[in-house]
Amino acid sequence: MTDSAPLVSLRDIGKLYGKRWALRHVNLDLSPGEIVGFIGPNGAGKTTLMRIMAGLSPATEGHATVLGSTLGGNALQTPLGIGLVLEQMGFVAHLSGNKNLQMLAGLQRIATEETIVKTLQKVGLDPDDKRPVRAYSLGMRQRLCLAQALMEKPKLLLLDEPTNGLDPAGIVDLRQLLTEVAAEGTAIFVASHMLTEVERICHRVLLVRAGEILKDLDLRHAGPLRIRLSVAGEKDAEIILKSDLEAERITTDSEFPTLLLTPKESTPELVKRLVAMSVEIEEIAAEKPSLEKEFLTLFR
Amino acid sequence: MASFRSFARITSLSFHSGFVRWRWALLTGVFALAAGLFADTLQWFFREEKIGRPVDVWDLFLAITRNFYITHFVVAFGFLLFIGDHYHRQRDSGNSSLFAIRMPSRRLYWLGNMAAVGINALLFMSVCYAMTLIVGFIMVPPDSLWPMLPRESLLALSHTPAMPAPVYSLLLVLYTAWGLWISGSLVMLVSTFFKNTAVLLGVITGWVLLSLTLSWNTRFAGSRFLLIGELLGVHKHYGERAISLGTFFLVSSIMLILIAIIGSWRMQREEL
Repeated sequence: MTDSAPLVSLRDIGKLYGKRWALRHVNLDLSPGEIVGFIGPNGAGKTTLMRIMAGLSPATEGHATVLGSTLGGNALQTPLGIGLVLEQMGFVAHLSGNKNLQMLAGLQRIATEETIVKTLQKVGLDPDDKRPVRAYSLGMRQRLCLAQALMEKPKLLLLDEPTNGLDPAGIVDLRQLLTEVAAEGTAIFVASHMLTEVERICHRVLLVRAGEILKDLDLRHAGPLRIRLSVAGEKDAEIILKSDLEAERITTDSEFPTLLLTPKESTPELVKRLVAMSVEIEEIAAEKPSLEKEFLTLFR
Repeated sequence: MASFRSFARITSLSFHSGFVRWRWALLTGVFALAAGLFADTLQWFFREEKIGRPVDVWDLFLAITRNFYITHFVVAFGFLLFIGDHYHRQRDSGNSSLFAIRMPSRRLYWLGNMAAVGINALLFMSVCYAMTLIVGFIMVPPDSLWPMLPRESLLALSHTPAMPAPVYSLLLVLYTAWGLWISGSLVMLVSTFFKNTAVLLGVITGWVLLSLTLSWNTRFAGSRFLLIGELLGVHKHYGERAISLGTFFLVSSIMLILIAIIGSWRMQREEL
């Protein structure tokens, strides 16, 4: 990831449908190579925000700059260099996946036939499959959707529920693919209900409710590191609890006494110190704050 | 040049995305049925009117394009449902977003869609013509493949220029397709303002019924171009209230250009 100028800059974006605000006071910067997740309950405004960023829908208020273009004003226009996967995306039903992509690619003439073939292979589809799209399964359609978004090598990738219809292997492939695409400098914005997937691939996560961002979690620097430590006996646990280490006893299924530590030092230094204190360690693991916990805390 | 290429591509994509085989198959059946019924009816009329020659295939297409009910309910209503439905489906299925994000401008996207309506109109009338010929050659085969017009016929069919019937029929295909292109584009424009399917269906039905009612009334002669039956029918160039071919093409071209301009403006503000 680089620290260059943001590809997306949203300031105080709001979207009004009738009398209901679908989005309110949304601020967001998206840098090259960054993967940002967007999580919230149904109707939180995820798709609306994507449509605004893609130039398909105007914001009611605020200022949006995407890939150097200022969106809004009198005319809607999609900035060049956006790949988009929406939940509802139709293809020409009687043509094959490859033919569909060729026809779409013809609109911009960025993707060559060779690129299309490679992209289809990358998302796990057979470029020589002559079956019409209407015969595709939901998962195959979703893969084709990803292929159309990727084939023109976009600088910004907007994905609305990209794991829809994908089998477990497909989800693993997608995770790998998105990590590779981001490593090449593409900024990725993912809206999904799949918390674990978002947690695994995203650098940052926005938790949204009723169109407002409630929390912007940076998963790269997600708060103080916590260490889960299981020790050989009660004597060892007592030594730690009586020391100046910040520790608390927790109940687990483990047969050993378990503590949760919030150390000020690094993990290797902590281990050295515990050994010096004659503590017998059985298990030690770093524990990141869980996105699921954050989500449930905010939305329950 | 790049814009022209994008325009040609979006026209092709828009046409393909609206092409549903079973609908065209259904349409083929409807035209075949209409041609079959008309062949029977015409034979009866010829006998009643004591026309001294038998009905043939060339009378059939002329009669179909001159019949008010066929023009309104089969040609106009059928085509407008086809187009209104196509545009709605394109938007609802997400085709529109897929196409629009790749277009250099929304204006080109609209013009491409309009061009696709034109191709659909031409195909629609070609299917109608082909089915009439097939059914006609079977039910009422001609004495001559190259009959000159006008010839002894029913009064409604007798206003025809002096040219070979096959050529005149082909010109009629183009003429009706031109009218359908304008009306289909107008419906597409209306559907950018009213997204509710029921409202659009109401507009189409109302337009067809209003046209059918007002076409008979001479008091509405000034608003003839707004009536779909008048837009499609060649009868307006004959009789007391005749409009010249030049006036028709001038006014209808202006209508088409206006639809293109308003549609381009609207498309730049349309949420896809």
